[in-house]
Amino acid sequence: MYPERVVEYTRGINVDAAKCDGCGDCAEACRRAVAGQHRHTDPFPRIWVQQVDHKQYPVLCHNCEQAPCVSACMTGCRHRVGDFVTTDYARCVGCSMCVMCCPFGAIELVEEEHLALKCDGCLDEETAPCVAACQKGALRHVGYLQSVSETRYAGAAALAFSSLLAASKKGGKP
Amino acid sequence: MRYVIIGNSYGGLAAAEAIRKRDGHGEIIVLSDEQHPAYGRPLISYYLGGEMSPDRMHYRPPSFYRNYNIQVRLNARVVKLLPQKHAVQLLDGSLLPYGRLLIATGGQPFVPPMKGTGSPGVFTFTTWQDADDIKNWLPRVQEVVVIGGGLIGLSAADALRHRGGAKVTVVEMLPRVLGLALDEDGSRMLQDKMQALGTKVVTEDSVVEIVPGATGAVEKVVLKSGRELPCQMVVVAIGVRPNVEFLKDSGIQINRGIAVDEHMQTNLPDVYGAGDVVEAKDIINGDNRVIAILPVAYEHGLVAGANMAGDVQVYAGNIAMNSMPKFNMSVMTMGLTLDQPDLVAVRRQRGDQYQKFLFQGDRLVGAILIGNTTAGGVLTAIIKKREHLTPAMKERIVYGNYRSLVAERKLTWSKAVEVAL
Ligand SMILES: Cc1cc2nc3c(=O)[nH]c(=O)nc-3n(C[C@H](O)[C@H](O)[C@H](O)COP(=O)(O)OP(=O)(O)OC[C@H]3O[C@@H](n4cnc5c(N)ncnc54)[C@H](O)[C@@H]3O)c2cc1C
Ligand code: SF4
Ligand code: SF4
Repeated sequence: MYPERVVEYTRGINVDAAKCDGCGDCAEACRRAVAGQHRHTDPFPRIWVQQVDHKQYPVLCHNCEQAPCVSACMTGCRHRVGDFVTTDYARCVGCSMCVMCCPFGAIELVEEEHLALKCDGCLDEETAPCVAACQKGALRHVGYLQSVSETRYAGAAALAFSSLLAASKKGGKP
Repeated sequence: MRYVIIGNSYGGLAAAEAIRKRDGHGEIIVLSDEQHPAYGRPLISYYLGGEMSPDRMHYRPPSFYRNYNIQVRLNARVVKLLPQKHAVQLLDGSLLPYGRLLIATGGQPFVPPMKGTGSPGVFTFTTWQDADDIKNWLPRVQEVVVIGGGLIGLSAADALRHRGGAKVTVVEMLPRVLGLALDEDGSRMLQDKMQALGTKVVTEDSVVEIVPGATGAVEKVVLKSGRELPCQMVVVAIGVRPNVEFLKDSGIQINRGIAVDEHMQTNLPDVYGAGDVVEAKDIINGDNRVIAILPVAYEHGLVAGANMAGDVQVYAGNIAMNSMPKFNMSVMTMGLTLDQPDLVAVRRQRGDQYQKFLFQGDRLVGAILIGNTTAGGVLTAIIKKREHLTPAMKERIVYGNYRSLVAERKLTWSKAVEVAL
C-alpha cells in the first residue's frame, strides 16, 4: 500500500542490476567526485557493487521520500534539498543514528573523520558522475514512479511478445 | 486554522514541517521554555566536550522558520492547558487560543529525593543551559561524580573526559553500565574501555546523600555501601520522566506518558502528542510505551502533524534502539537485547568486536553491534518490519552479510519502507 501522494524525485539514481557486469566504473567515478569530503582518510565510493552468488548488485542511497536517516539525524544536517536527501557535512558528528536507521545500509561511518557518508546525489552536476560513467545502462536518473511503470511496460511487452510468438507458431493471428 | 505546538525540538518541529506541507496558510506557533533556538539536544554532550562550537548546534537554520512561515516564541513556558477554552496559559498569565494543539514537551530529568540535591555544584544534563552551567562550574572541579550509567550519564561522563581536567566516576545502581540496553558481555567491553580511558565506574551501588562543605557547595557523596567519594561536582542522570506536570487537572489521560491513539491524538479533542512525552506503539510487544529517542520523537511529530492538518495517517510504531559512539567505541542496540527464555541468541565475539542477534521463531527481534556497526539499519528495518526469515537469510544475518539481503531485494520492504511514514 502506498500513500496517494508519492512525490516523483527524478534525481533518484535507479539501478537495473541485470545490466551490471561489475566493472566498477561507477565506483571509480564516485571516488573522484567525493574526494573533497575526506580530510584524514582515503576516499571511498558511495556506490559499490555487491556480489551475491556471482551476480552483481550496485548499491547506493535510495533517496527515500520520507527518509528514515532524516528522522534520525540528531544534528539536522541530513535533510532533503529539493530532489535529493543531502548532507551538510560541516555539522555531521558521526553519531551513527542515521546508520542505525537506513534500511538499505547506504551510509558508511568513517570514525577517523567523525562523519557518516552517503551518496548525496551530486546535485551540482547535470548528470551524476556514476550515472555518466556506467556504459552498460545499469544506472539512470529516473524517478521511482517512472521506473515502476517502465518495469510494468517491459513486463507487458514481454508477455505480448510471447503471445505473439505463440500465435504465429500456430499459424493464426494474435 | 491556528496550530499551537508546545516544544521546539524533534517532535514539535517534525509536526510543524508536516503541517506546512499540507496547509500552506494556517498559522503555526511553536513555544519553547528555553532561551535557545532549536538545537540538537544530544549535541550538548559534544558541546560540553569541546567538540562542537555553538554556531553548529542549531537543528534547523534560521531561514527554515522564514521559509516555513513558523513563528517561534522562546522563553514562553506553558503553565496550564485549558481544553474548555481551547487555549493554553503562559507563564506571564496570557492565554493563547489554539485550533489544534500539539504537546511535544519532551522529558524532564528525574532527581531523586535525597539530601543535598539543592547544593551548588549539583547539575542535571538535558539542556544547553545545563551544559553552560556545568562549563561555568568546572574551573573549581577536580573530581566529578555522575549518578547514573545510562545514555545521558555516559554522555556527560564522555564529554567531561574529552574536556579533560577532572576525574570522573560513574555510579550505577544496576550491575553494569547501559544495563537496560546492553547485555553482560557488551557492557563489560564498554566498561573496560571506560576504565582504560580513565573514567571510573562503580556498579551495584547508589548515591544516598550529597554532602555540602563549608561554603555550601558539594564536597562529597555518600554511597549506599557506606563508601564516600570526594567531588566538587555531581551530575544527576538517573533518568528522564515525561514532562507532564503542567497538564494536571486538564483532563488529559496520562499513564507514564500521555496516552495517544494511533493518530497520535490524546483523549482531548484537537489535542495531539509527540516525542518523549507520549506513550505510543512499540512494535515488538504491541504495547504503548515511552520510547525516549529522537528518531521516534520525529516520526511521532510527522504523524501528529499530518493528522492535525487533516490528512489521516496512522503511526506504524517503532522499537527501542540507540547508537552510542562514546568512549571511542561504537555501540548500537536495537529491539530486545537481553536474553529471554523464548529467544534464541547468537553471539559472535572477536577482539573488540561483538555482535549479538536475537531471534524469536523465524523473526529477528533484536541485535547488539559493538565495534563494527556497518549497515546496522538493515537489521533495524528487519526487526521493525517483522520480516519472516528463512534459515538461509538468518545465516547471512548472523555472519554479518545482511547488506546482501538488501542488494538482492530479498526483503519485502524494498520500496514500501521509503514511502511509509
Ligand atoms: C545528553 C543527552 C543525550 C542523548 N542522546 C541521544 C542519542 O544518542 N540518541 C537518541 O535518539 N536520543 C538521545 N537523547 C534523547 C533525545 O534528546 C530525546 O529523545 C529527544 O530530544 C526528544 O525530543 P522531544 O521533541 O520529544 O522533546 P525535547 O527534545 O525534550 O524538547 C522538549 C521541548 O519542549 C519545550 N518545553 C517543555 N516544557 C515546556 C512548557 N511547559 N512550555 C513551553 N515549552 C516547553 C522545551 O523547551 C523543548 O523545546 C539524548 C538526550 C540527552 C539529554
Ligand atoms: S541514506 Fe538510507 S534512509 Fe537515507 S535516503 Fe538514502 S536510502 Fe533512504
Ligand atoms: S552521523 Fe551525521 S548525518 Fe548521521 S545522524 Fe549523526 S549527525 Fe546526522
